[in-house]
Amino acid sequence: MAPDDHPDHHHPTELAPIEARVAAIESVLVDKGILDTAAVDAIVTHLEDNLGPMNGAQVIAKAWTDPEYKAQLLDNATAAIDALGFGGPQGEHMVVVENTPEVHNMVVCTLCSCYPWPTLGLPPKWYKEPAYRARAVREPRKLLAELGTVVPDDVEIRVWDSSSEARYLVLPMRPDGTEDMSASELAKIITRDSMIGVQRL
Amino acid sequence: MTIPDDDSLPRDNGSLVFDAPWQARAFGIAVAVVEKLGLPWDAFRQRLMHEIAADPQRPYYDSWGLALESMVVDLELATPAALEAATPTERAPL
Amino acid sequence: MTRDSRENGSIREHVLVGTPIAVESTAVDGVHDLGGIAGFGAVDHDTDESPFHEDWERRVFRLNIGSGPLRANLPAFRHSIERMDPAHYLSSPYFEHWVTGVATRAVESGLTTRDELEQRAGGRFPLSQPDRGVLPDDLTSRTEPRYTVGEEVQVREWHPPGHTRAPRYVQGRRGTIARVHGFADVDDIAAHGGGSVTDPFYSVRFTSHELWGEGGGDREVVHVDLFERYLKDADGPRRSP
Repeated sequence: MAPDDHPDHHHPTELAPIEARVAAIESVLVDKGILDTAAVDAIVTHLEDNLGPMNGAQVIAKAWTDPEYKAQLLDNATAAIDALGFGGPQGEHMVVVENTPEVHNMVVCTLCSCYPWPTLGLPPKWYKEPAYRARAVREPRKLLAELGTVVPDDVEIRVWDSSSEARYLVLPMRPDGTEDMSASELAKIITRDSMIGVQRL
Repeated sequence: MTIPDDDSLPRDNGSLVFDAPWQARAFGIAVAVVEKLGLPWDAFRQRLMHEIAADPQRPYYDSWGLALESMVVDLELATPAALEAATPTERAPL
Repeated sequence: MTRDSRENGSIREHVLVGTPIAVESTAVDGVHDLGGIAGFGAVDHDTDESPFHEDWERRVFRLNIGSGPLRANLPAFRHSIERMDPAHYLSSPYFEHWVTGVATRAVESGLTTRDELEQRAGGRFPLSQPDRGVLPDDLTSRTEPRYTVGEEVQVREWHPPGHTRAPRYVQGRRGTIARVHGFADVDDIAAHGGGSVTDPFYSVRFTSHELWGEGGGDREVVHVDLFERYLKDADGPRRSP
């Protein structure tokens, strides 16, 4: 019988608090020998600590300072990013899209929350919520302006809806005045939001 | 591969969605070993980059496995002979 | 949707179109399919980089990562969330979707029951609605792309009752092949027990005016990754430049 089809059953009327529901399903999985919380804790800690925009920033900084790497990155982003040791879960098929004076790129997942974990970490709350998912494909220029990013009317805004296997990373334009900075110095100024495409540096 | 038997080694993280269970295990083992030894993640990543550079056509998790083996040997957690002799442990299918 | 009603497309067209029918939720174009939906207001943006704002969220993430077979089929897991009661989906925080999805999968796979969960939780534990997905007739794996960059294509309109990665806002719309990505397992098939069936997939470029008519924005385009089986050769004139 389907989970919610119990016409003769009386379900409790009071909604169990979310914390209690989490504890309930967790205890079921532990009791059935499926979930080993300590072991998975190590994985989660790894994902929290070692995946994040500091990785993507290294990719971008290298592209800015190494034209050959940039060409490789635009041709086969998966291989180029793997080569820096930033492959892995949710990064198996990467596409890097380059911002230019004519085109501003922006990434969304309207259907759920697809996001390139190895290069940007786990997605921020706002990326996964209805407002961004609904509006990014409908009125991107207006949305960006609300977020403080003004894209002139003559610049094309290209929104990438991550609806399948590919995960997208925006290659922001390098800001003026950074010509003398090293790759590691540049990495420090490249933000998560610029690589999602809701910010220009 | 012979790794000291340890309760903290992940037994199942298949839901990170790898092509094959052995990749999940290699992922988990690298994470566990690095953390247990208090190493920065970069210590493993540098080895991974080295293995990928040695053969860019090789599948990612094959390079991962080699990086893990080299780390295990260099840190004297196992000898090359022991790694050669170790039979894959049977695991229940996911 | 029964097999008969699918095969006899004309019955559906002649009887169902325009006829108000009270059906139990057929869950076509689920509430999760949010592209273009109005009314959500401002994006609650912050630059905070921690993925979990509460302890329970991290705990949910942890149990999902370690839930093994319940999450191994990612399309099925995603669909378990898509099947949530619409009001519940829209009114609950993101990680509550994951709790609901994995708990639903646990009950459906016989690991536990809703009663057991409610006893343990000490209260009501809403789950997702039943899975109404069906497998398509065509289960042929393909790897060679039919279309090339620059070709005009049109997205079919079929609004399935189950899982799909063709958002509602592009179904029926006309676009241009922008990239040929390769091939991958079709989510619509994997989600409903059809296993691995591959199809080439593309980045298809749609202008904002094509998608939203007069309401669209100039020099705004949307690229959507679509499987070849979602597409057909473009027919007729473009809706809009």
